[in-house]
Amino acid sequence: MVAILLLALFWWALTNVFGVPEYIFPSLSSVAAALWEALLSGRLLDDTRISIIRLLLGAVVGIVSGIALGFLVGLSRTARIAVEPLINAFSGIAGIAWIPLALAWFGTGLAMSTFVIWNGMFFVVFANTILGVSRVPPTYAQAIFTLGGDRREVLRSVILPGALPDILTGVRVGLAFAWRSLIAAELMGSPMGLGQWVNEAATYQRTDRILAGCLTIAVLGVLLEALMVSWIARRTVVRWGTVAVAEERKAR
Amino acid sequence: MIQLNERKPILQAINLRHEYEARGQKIVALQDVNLTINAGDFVTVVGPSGCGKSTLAKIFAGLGTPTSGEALYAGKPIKGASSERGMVFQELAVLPWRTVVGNIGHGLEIAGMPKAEREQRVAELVRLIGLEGFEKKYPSELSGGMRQRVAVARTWATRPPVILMDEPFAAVDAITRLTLQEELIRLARTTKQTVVFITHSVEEAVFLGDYIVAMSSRPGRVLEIVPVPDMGINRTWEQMIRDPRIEAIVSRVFELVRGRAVAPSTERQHA
Repeated sequence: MVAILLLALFWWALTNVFGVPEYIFPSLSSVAAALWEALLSGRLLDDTRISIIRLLLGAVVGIVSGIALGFLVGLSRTARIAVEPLINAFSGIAGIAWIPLALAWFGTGLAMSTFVIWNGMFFVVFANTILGVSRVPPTYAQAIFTLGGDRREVLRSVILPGALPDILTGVRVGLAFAWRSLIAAELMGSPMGLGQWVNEAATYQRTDRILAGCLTIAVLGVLLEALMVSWIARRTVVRWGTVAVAEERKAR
Repeated sequence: MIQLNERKPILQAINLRHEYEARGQKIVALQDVNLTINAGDFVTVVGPSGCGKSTLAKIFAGLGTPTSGEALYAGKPIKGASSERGMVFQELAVLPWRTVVGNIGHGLEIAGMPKAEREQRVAELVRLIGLEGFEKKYPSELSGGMRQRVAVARTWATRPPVILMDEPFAAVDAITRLTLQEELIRLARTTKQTVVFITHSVEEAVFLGDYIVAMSSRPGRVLEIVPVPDMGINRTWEQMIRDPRIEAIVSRVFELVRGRAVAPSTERQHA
C-alpha cells in the first residue's frame, strides 16, 4: 500500500514539479482522463473482456498440461528420460519468437493467443510441478501403502496435495508470463485486446493511453493472481501449514 | 510371560540378508537374521544405529525386499505393503493436509467403511488418545506428542493383525515419551495387538517388550532374544526402575548391544 502511494507521489512530482513534458511522461491526471474516456466509450471494457477470455483460455491449457506432464515426468523415470530433454530444449526459446509462426499457423484468432500463452506458461508450471512431486516425503506414501492404499490413493491423497505449494508457485509465476505473452501477441497482430489498444495508442503517440493500458494490465494481473492463486493458497497450503506466510515468519 | 497367547507364528524371517550400496561400497545391513514372532507378542527390537533394525521393519511391512532369504507373514512370503501390516514411522508421517479425524479415519476410508460407522470409530479413537477438542485441527497445529498419537491411532484404526513401529517416539520429548509408552502398552495389552517395536533405547525396549531382540551393527545380526518378566498392563516407569530383575535385564541388553557381552555372543563373533 505504502509502495503504491510513494510511486504515485513520485509520478506526480515528475510531471508537476520537475516539469517532464506530457508527450514523454503524461501526468497522473491525463492518464486518469484517458482511462475515463476509454471506459465511457466502452472500448476499455471490450478490450479487457477479449484479453481476459484469451488469457483464461491460454492459462487453463497451460496449467492443465503443465501439471499433467509434470506429474508424469515427476513420477516415471521412463517419461523423464523420454520427454525431459526435449522440453528443456524448447523452454529456452523466447515465447515472442513463436508469434510470427503462430500467426501463420493459427491466424489471428483464439487459437493463436492460446498457443502463445500456453507457450509462455507451460514450462514454468511443468518445472515447478516436477519439483513439487519430488519434494513430497517418501514416508507419507509408504504410510498410505501400509494403510492399504494403492498407487491411485497415494497420488490423490499424498502427491497432489504434497506438490501443491510448488504447483501454486509455478502458476503464480506462469500467470505473469501468460500476461506478457498475451500482450506481445496482441501487439503483434491480434485484433482488439489491451495489447492492441496500447499498440494503437503508440501509433498516434498517445502516451497517456499507453500508460492507461499498462495500468489496466497491472491491475488485472493482480486481481487474477489473487483469484486464481492466493485464494486457493489461503484455503489449502497456508491453512495446512505446508507453506509459511510472511507474517507468520516474522512472528517467529 | 506370553503363555496366554496362542503360540502361532505370524511373522517369520528366514536367513534374511539385506545389502545396499552407498558411495560405491557394499554395506550388509542384515545378515543371517532368523526370527519368529507369534500372534499377540509385543516384541521390541533394539540395537545401535546402523544395525538394520529399520530395514527389518520395512521388509516385514513389505516396503523393502531382502537381498536373499525370506520374510513370511502368516506362513506366506511377503510381497508388497498391505493393510494387514500397519506401520508407524519415526518421522511424522501423518498427512499435513488432513485434520486429526481425517488422518485417523484414512485407513478406514481406504477400506471402504461407511461414513457413519467410520465417524463413530474415529471418535472412539480420538477419546482414547485424549485429543477431544482437536478433531478439526491440522497436524501443524499440534505438538509433536499429539501428532505421534494421531499416527499411532491412524494405524490402530483398521486393527491390522500386525503393527510395526519404527522408533515412533524418537522425535518426542523425553517426558511425553514416558506417557506415550505407558499408554501404548496399555492399549496393546488390552487389545492383544501384535506389535513389533523398533528402538535404539534399551530402557524403552525393556519397558515395552514381552521379549527383546538384541541386534549387533554392521552387519546387523540377532545376538540374543531376551525374555522380560510380565509387569502387567498398568506398568509404570516408577515401578519398573525399582525392580531388580528389570535392572539385570537392562544391563544384560546393554552389554549385548554394545558388543561387550561375555557369553555366548563372544563365541558367535569369532565364529
